[in-house]
Amino acid sequence: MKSRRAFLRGAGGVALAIPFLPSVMGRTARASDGSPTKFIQCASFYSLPRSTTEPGYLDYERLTYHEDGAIPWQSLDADTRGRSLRTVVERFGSLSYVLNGRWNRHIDRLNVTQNLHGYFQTDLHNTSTAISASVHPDGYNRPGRPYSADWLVARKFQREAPSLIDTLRVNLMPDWVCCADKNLAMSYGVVDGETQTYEGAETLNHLLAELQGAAGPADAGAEVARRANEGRRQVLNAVLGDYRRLRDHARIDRADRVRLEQAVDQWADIERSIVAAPAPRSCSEFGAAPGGLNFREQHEVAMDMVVLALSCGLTRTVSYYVQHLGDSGLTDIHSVHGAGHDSRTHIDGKGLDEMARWRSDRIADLCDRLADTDDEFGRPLLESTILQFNHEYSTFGHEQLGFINVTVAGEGTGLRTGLQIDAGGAPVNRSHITNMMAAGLTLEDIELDGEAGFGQYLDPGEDGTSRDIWNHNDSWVNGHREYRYERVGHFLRDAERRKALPILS
Amino acid sequence: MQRSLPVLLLGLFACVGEIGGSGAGDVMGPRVGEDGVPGDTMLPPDSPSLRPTDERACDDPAAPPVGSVRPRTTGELVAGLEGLLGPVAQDPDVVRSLSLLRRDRPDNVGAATTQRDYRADDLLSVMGGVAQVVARRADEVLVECPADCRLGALDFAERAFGRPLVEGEVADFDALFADFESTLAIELAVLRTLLSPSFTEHVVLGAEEEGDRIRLRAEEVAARLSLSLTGTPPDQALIDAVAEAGDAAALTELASTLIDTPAGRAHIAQLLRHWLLLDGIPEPEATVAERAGVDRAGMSEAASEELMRFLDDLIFERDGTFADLFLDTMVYPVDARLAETFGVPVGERTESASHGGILRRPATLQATSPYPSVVVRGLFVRHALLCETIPMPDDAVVADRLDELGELSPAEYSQREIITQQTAELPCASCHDSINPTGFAFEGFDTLGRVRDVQEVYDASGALIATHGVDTTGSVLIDGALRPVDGIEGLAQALAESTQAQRCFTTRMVELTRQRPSTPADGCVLRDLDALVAEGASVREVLVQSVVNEQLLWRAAEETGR
Repeated sequence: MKSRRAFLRGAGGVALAIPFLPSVMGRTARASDGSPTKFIQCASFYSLPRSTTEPGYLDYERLTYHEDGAIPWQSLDADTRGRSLRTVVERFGSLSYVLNGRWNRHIDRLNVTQNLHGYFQTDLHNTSTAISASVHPDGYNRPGRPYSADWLVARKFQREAPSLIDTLRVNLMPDWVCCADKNLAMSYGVVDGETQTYEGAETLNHLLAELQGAAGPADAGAEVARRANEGRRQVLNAVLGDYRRLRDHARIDRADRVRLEQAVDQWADIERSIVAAPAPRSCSEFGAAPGGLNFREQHEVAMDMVVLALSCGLTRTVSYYVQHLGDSGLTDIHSVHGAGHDSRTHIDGKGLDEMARWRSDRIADLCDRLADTDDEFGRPLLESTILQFNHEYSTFGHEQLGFINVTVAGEGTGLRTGLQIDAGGAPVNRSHITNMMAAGLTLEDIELDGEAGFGQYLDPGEDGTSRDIWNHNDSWVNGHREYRYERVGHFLRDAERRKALPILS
Repeated sequence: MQRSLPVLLLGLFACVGEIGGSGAGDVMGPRVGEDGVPGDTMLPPDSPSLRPTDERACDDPAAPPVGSVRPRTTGELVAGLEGLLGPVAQDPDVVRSLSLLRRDRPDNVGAATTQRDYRADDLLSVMGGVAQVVARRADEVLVECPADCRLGALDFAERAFGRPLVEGEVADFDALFADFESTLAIELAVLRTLLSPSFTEHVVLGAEEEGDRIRLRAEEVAARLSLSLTGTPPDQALIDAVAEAGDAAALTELASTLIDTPAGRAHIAQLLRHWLLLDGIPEPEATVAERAGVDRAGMSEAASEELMRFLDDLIFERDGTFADLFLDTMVYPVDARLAETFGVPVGERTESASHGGILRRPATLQATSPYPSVVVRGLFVRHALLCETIPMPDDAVVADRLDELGELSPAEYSQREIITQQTAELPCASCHDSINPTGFAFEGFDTLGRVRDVQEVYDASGALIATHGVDTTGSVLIDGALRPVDGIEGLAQALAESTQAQRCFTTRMVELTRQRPSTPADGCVLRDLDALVAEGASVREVLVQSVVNEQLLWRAAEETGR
């Protein structure tokens, strides 16, 4: 496995400095308003305890469970049910202790998916990598199939229309004491048969400086890119003419003509997308990291940076690691580990719930910034963005962790939102497939090795670890969440592996 | 051999379902999709339209093939680009672009070539990357550049299209060089060339019509010949030679020369690789490899290389026949692990007492399970070598049957006993009656492709907990009759003599060299090829004759016009 320290792959490269066909997007990778879809993968270990995150589940003040069934569910498909998050907020004031009132502004763009399962994972903390399928190449994704979701999305985006930076990788926690060899790897994939891992920036200032350096040439290249766009439109017009002439030739068989008609349609779509695309925007000055060790402030600067990089077209994919635990947050993973086993364990005066809430607030901060910043078309950046916040699905006594994924997706993306979704025990893989498809990926883009679905699928009957995952979590939960072990075989089928949640629009 | 087998949806047999999954590998073995229940993702990459059991109807020896245009395959596009770019094809950015093309269209071969959806965005991405590199290194790719890159771009397009440019095309290129600065103009001109259907499609419009046939022009015949046998577009010398060729003998001579070139041998190797489903050879199972003290890293590549050396040597150096494909006893121990498997020293070609032919090689035998699947091995033979189509099993039937039987422990039962119990009753038996005995013949070889007398069973820690004797006997359905077979040697002999296998081979070769499904119009060609194989002609001659025949010069005139 090759480790790449590069966190701005492609930055400064001549070939990519002028994006190739920056406005040429496949139809599915463009938000409905024409803006290219952006993808943000947020990840953290030991986060989102189920009881205090699940909407409408626990009354944190009184430490009592809300009545199950108080807010009705509606069936979405044979495995899945859903209910309105707005209804939850209207009844309880906020979604949950972790997804607190900070999120209310975004509930119509939010999906909280629960009852996802990690029973296809072979390792303890590596399960974790349900986190995002973006942390450990040997964990969640089976060896030999090491494609993280953000890597696949970036690959798709770059193939359509390369940005200067394929993925902006942000990891503000270089002093992580555990598993530094693997946990710092934010995303990974296979290039020329070799697994590549990419690390986040080691300091925020370093990252900011790199971006500033990249932004200058990007601005200078904007006019060149505009000219290139003109030329490419001219080329595509000529190619379209070639296909039309061939299609219309008297000696083309009827069957062949059908395929050529398909080609004509596709080239015409692409040509139209160039005509409709705006000129690239310029990047403004990137800031500087604050002094001291206030991690909230550091994340605020980093998130400003992310939003700016997205809005000015430096990148369309972001991999963002949120691991601090508070403003003066701890970095001692072993302490957090203890809290994972027992939420009564307090670290620096905080319990796991409070730490998760702090992280949740950071993501809500990022959503605020996305909502308050314009994209290429002058619309809120959030409306052309898919943000997924994933975390650890763990076992062996980390009973409180897992089984909930949070996604924020703009109106222009391919997702129905505003839903609390009960996935019926489907593997967490399904959530990733859903979001990737919403970002415009097809199964062909996802199944690079030809196997059905995404990530690892192991039969939990095969080894004790997986059974433990099942047993622990099944025994812990309160009545209204149900993980049906006997349905594992159902979810292992190829067709099920490939299925998205029924929220793709 | 635990690769995904393409299984066709329409059955040759009337079998209505099968159980192959989770039997052998219930405890440690592979899961769905690996142990004989091909996943429902597996669409046929090259399903023959004509099956071996179909009548080779030859009503009209002059019947021309249908089809006016087909997309060039991934291999053809890559070969075409490499020819155009020369050394610049090794530029890392070009390599990256081409790897995307290869990765995204791995099954764009044979009959599947015309079955895939058009993907403009894929082509745009790949060719865009290549065009940027050419613009950067124009003086290495375009003649007359930097002095007059416009001329170089026109020459590049003519080489790509294999013909002179027409007036409108020249005007397009001129406009690009008039409107844009030089580097961008070069990039755009190259992109315009590489996206044109004149490069990405194989078009045969033809010249004169004669009744229901259209005679092809010399450049079209040359393109057919060259693409079929080398996977590359024709050069001017070949076009001229085809134009001057007066008869079939002259074309045969040209074809024989082409197939012997390095490009020809490499292309044929790729076709055979596809025929034998070699793209999916896995590294062998870890437990067995570890117990044998074998480093399994890279074993799939070594096994694949060994088989390809065998095929290349047999076909091009020894003029091997169809029967030799199964019965030849030469092996090619390219590394120490293979040498140990064969029981010979590392080296070049050598005779083996235990291995040989297509069937008895690690490439065919390696498996990802400690208990190589009887079903997968059987399906490989029935699908790839006998061109049978076997339907997907019904999930509910499989689940019911497994529930009914309960757990059959490999510690207690052999692989053969488990699969026999699981598939003994209808509807499973309707297919497994032919699959299982075929797979049983392989039982004398383990996961690494080594000869074995017993099937070893391990627990989760890899410790040996049981052994079972292997039974390699069975009655295999071939040519519509049951034939007693003992071991792979017996199966190989039966296949070498089988009309069904011979016809499967000729059908596959026609489809792979022509990159399209076979059709009833190919009946006469297939009949002649069947006869050649039956007479003991060399595989090389069969390949040449699958391309050089009356059909080479014609296409059907029917269904043209609007």
